[in-house]
Amino acid sequence: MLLAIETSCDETAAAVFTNNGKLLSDIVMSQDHLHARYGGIVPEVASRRHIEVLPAVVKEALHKARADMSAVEAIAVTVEPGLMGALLVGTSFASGMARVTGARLIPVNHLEGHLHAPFVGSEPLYPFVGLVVSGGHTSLYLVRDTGEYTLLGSTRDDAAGEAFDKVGRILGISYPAGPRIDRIAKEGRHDALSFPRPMLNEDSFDFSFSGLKTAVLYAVKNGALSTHSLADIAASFQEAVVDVLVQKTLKASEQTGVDRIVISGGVAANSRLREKIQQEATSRGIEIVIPPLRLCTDNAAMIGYTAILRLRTGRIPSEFSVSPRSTFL
Amino acid sequence: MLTPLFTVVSHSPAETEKAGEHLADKLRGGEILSLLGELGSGKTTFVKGLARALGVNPREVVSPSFVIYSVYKGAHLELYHVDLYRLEKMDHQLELEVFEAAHNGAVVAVEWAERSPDIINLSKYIIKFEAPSEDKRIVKVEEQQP
Repeated sequence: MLLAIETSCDETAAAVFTNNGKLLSDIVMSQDHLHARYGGIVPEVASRRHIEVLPAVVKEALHKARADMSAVEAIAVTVEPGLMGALLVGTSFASGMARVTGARLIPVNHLEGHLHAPFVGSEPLYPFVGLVVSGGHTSLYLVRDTGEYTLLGSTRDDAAGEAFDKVGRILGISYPAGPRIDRIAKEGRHDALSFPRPMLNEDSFDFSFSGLKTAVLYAVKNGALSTHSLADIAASFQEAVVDVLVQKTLKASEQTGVDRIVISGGVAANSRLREKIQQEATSRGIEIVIPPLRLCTDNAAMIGYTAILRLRTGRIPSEFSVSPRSTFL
Repeated sequence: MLTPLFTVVSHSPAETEKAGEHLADKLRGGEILSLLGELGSGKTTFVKGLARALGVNPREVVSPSFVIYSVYKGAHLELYHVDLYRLEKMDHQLELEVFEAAHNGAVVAVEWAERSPDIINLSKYIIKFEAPSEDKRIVKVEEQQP
């Protein structure tokens, strides 16, 4: 059996798989309610909470899988990227457990996990163009096989989810702003205001959302909240983000000749992104693969699943360093 | 006490980066830089220029809002790029990490230093960013004597 542990940010998660990849249990404990009081994630609060709840979360995952620690032959753990202190809790716990039980330790990159999230419970479908888009990441990859990743582009400044959070603050929408903007935008017109689509026409797969955030700030400073409804501003901003994500991802598919697209990460839960990429792809004969909502956000199932794929190919990263870098692969 | 060092009126991200490069000439390691100013006023862009002058590829420098801080290896010095934006309540552990990094000889640039009076007090340079209009930024660099 394989136990997977994920503590890179503010979800404490554990999952248990059989050796041949059947998911037996998948527990996620969110800290959202704790951090909402502070208007964002507080690293020390996150680390302490992981320390408090990780043992119980692991116990629960094993209990649900009707397994005990002696049956665990491998422990997969997220080693990067993420919040340093939060990662250290998971990796220390996993290392200690591996040392005591003799289980094999498998370091997993969080982004590699996200790229494989939609395939948990089945076989991965290679090759694909993968967009990982969340509060901390906006990266586009060409994935040819397990362990064969090419970074096509990534954000030059803010991640897409970060733009949602910051614009949320400009508009007075509280944390976590992503799902709230999504909901409010449903009542608005997405062509009410014209916001820039940064880097859309540049010949690169890189993204930039900092200028868009500034454009919203100036629209608000210039009185947009009195001339337009909050819903119109939210919808117009969201449309600009979604347009850039969709167009760049489609372009990557076109240029690489790979007609399967995976979209994963917290922002993949955005309903307008899901709707628009699906529309655009269907007309082009491109297959869109998006994980169910619970696998879009951070979880341990995607970490365990990636470890099993790695075990199969025998390509286990040998280095084991915990790092807070926001890009990797 | 604050002594004005230089002020740049910038009309483009490239000019804001240049201001960062200009300050980097003065850095020997161990300095904390407090970057003060609202969203979209050029703080991360300034750090990109700082990074380039220290021998870090500015392309690697992105907003650290999510991970709170990133560390870049320059030619001679390490650059800590810290962002307190998400912390409405200051995290003391993080303040200690900032002081320790500077003590160990790194250059530590702190965005949204407004959140930590202690970090501002111990900063060698205070950089104030203003955005009087959408395409104009004023970057004021001041040196702080202890």
